[in-house]
Amino acid sequence: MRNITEKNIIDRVYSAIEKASFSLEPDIMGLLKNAAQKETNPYGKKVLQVIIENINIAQQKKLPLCQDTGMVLVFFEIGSEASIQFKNFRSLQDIADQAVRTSYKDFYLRKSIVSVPERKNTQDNSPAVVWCEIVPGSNLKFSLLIKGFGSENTTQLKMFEPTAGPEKIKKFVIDCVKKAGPNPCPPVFVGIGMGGTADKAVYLSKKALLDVGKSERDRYREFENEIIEGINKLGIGPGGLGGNFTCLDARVKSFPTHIAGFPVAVSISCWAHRMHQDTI
Amino acid sequence: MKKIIAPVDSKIIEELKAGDFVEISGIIYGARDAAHRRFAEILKKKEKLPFDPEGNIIYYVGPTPAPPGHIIGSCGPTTSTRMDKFTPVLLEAGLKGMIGKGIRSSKVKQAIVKYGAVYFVTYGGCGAYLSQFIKSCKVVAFFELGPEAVYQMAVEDFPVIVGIDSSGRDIYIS
Repeated sequence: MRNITEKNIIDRVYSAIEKASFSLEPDIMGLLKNAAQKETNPYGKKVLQVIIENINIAQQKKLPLCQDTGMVLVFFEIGSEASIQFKNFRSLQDIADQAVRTSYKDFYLRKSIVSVPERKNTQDNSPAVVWCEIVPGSNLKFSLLIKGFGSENTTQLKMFEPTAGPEKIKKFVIDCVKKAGPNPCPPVFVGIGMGGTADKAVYLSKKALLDVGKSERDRYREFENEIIEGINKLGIGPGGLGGNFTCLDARVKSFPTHIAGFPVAVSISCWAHRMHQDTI
Repeated sequence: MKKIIAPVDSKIIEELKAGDFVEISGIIYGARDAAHRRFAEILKKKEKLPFDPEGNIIYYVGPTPAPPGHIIGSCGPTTSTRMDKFTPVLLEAGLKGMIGKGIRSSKVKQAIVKYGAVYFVTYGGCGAYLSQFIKSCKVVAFFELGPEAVYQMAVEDFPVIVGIDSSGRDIYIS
């Protein structure tokens, strides 16, 4: 067994929140810069230029990339040979929340989380949405996603009939982006979850967002490319003001499902796709 | 590039056309979901709003806290659609402009035409960039709403694009 202290996890999640709030991953930056160079629509091009400038200013002045500093999602993958040494905290949720609390205060991030239905602000942006899987190995890996709600509000789930083919699924995904229009701050990233149960499909659509921008692709490569192409034909463009770049990347994650159904979920992330991964 | 001073009058608004790049200087008010719900309740009770909407512009924004040495934190636009149901009564009360991002309902569009107002869009998610154009910022109402309070902001050359002009032309549908 390999021991991992709670402080170790808090520190790493804390710095992941800092990194993701003020800068984008190199892969995401690359896609944005490429789009800014190639966009031909004058409005779309202007929006992309302002986005690039915004990213530079955020870094220079240490101001959050976007005022919606979001809800924090942490996807933990804990090795079966790793053991978390709980001392001051009682759960992984508590550990993640502590990292959120301290980082949101220290870095002047907006506290956007409220209770429901009272809508009373929790004042420290906790709680985080915590997911945990036990995997082989002795490491603790986590993926952090900071999700703004301009894009989160456009999430969709559809329970297809089992006989629905890939064309129907593709059309659904493209329609989701079309319906979202300018609201999720395009150019967007699209995560598609297929299969499982309704909840599993939505979960997978979020996990798929963790892969956007990366060079590794799997068996859905062609399907994903067709979706990206179909979305970009919509002409929504950067900021929704027109152009060729509406979607910068799309990824699919799947899980077997029941003979009687076919759940499909679509999660959209704004151009400010704020994520960070780390391994302890 | 057109330049306007806020508060504005209908004459200046009539000259703005969907798609125009505009820079706003002067005083604008920041307010979003929770504040709008309260505005609508106040107007329903025929009471006074915390600021006079006549000729004014509301910016749909919930800024991040100002770090030391800054006037304001990041302050980009939030999605306007959620303010749609509260907007026609504000336009009726004299509001002349709104700044946000994204589409508006047909009811809002009709009210914009009826009351001679304008809907501006600005750069979604570009809160750090937009903070440069804010010269002062103070909470003027609903302090307890935190990021959803009402802010009075002095702006200089704040960049926007006309989203829906006073004749109802919409940049998003062309």
